Amino acid sequence: MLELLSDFRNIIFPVFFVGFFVGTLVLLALSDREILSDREIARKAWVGGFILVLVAVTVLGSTLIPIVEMHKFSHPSEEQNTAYEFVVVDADGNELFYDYRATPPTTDSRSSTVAWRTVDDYSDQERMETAEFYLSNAKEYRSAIESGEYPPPTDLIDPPRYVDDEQWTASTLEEYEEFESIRIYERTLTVNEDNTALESHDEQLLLTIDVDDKSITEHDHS
Amino acid sequence: MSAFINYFADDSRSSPINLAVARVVLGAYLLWRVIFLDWGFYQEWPRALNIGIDFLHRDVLLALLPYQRWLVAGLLVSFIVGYKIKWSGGLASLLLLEMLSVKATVYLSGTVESLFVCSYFVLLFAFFHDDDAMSADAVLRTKEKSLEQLNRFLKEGSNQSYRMRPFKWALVIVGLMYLGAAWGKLLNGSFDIYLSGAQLQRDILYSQVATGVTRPIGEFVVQYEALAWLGFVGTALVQSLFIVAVVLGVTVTPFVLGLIGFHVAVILTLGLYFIDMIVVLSLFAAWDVVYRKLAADQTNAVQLVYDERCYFCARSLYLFKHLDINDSVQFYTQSDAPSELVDRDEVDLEKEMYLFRDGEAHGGYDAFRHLFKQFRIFAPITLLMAFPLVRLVGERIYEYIADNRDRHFVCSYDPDETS
Repeated sequence: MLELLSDFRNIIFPVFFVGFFVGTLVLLALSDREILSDREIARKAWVGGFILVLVAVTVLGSTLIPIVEMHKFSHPSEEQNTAYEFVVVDADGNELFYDYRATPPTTDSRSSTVAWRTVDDYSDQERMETAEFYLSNAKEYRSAIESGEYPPPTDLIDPPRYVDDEQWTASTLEEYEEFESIRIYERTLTVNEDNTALESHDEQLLLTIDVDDKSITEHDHS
Repeated sequence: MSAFINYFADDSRSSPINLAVARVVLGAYLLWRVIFLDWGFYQEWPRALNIGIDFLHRDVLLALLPYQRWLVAGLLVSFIVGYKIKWSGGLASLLLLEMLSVKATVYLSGTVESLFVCSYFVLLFAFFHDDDAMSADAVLRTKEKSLEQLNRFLKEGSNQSYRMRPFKWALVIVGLMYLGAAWGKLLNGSFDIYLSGAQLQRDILYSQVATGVTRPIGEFVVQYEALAWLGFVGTALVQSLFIVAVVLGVTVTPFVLGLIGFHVAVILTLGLYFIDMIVVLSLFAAWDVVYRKLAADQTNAVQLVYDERCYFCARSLYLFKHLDINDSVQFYTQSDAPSELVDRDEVDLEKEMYLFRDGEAHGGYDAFRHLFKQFRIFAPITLLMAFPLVRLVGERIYEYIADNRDRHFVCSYDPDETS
């Protein structure tokens, strides 16, 4: 069923999206008018339609934007976990794990998907565009930290970032020369038998993208 | 008496407070999020990351986001005060849903999904806008009532109950969302994951490495599989049974408390995930019960005497009457005011309105200040009104209105006379 629907995704998604907004506007306009001797008919139609789609979206586990489901943490955690990480490299070849505050709003989990696609899915041109994006934002973010512009004065009243991962600081950045390239690592974690600790933590370099030289190096581990 | 209300079982309350509280809290919360989100950055992303909705990753839609933010903010301010709720709430919600959808092309996380839920809630307010009896719209609607009706309402109160359909349907929507969280685990995995605490232990361990942050409580849970199992299964149970309780019409309090507990546990073990949902869940609390306990009661009653021929005065007092759920303000007009209060030299009922507190008369601007004082939630306004400069301006405004109420403000209006 889902596969069948996915074949028509390019049509269903935009049509539903536009239909939702147009339909809601029309029903909202009619929401306090009497139609067929019923003053509530537009409201009932909207609420009924919305809940019907929400039930379908929830059961199928597929968001039909702008109606979303919240299947959070819904994928089983295996004994082994693989994720992908961006690393920024300076002129001396020193590596620093990317601080995703440089590319809002993503955090580590979404960036892992981007990194994986960059390695596995993207053409060389797309890889270079992605690396340029991450590198230029890393440089901008770095200069904001070093000049004292980051965090901004509004930081105290900004909504909190829900992932409080490690943050670059001016003192960390002192040890690095100018950023030049982006690397992608595959991180594999394995838990012990009773799941109380990590048994192993492996990092494997998969890809280096040198933005200045326009070179892409795939690191083969086979 | 329940801490949280199952509005699906009964969508009416004896006071309109809850809907007003939810409108203000929800609107203010969304306003804060909308203003501070970095809407300008999304256009820098080279491509959509969520395939399927990449038709929304258009330069023009991305470029509009920073401007739409201010439009939504303006509409939300109007929604918060309850002015033209149908369109201020409706358009704010639809615009925000469009903006969140465009944002979702880059990033669709629990935080974003929570904002979708908040937007649905605002949309329900728009559809059932006439349920809200404590809004600017409700005050404007008083023009449909005659002066006699308003005077009667102020003096005798009303036994009416107030429908709260936005809550009723929001409860179903939120219930379905949480059901999805439990159902998703079965959809993507197998029932086996419910038989041990391994799932939660691993999630915590992997998160510690990804973020570089180890939380003591997370570390503690990892060491005790039974605790992890209890947390995992307990969460799934409250997530899936919440909607069942809603639809069956039984109390939702244990489930809402369970869900809030689950969110707090997630914050302590993993980070600030889903904090927006705590705000959403808190909207279903029995705020009217809390308010009743905070509000002045009849032992601290005051007497207010106003001009019964003044339509403007009666309309101005309408919201105060709704707020006075403990009947701590006794409303009188000149014709029925107790003589021991008004038969004294310093009281001139033709000139201004009076509020009597412990027998002491406060007229005009001071009457309003003492009226605000009667409602503890307005303590900041009462303080502000005592400042000399504010008092000076306030007194002038009051005098102007009182002197010109026959000229500029409709008095003794009766809709029947105009029809």
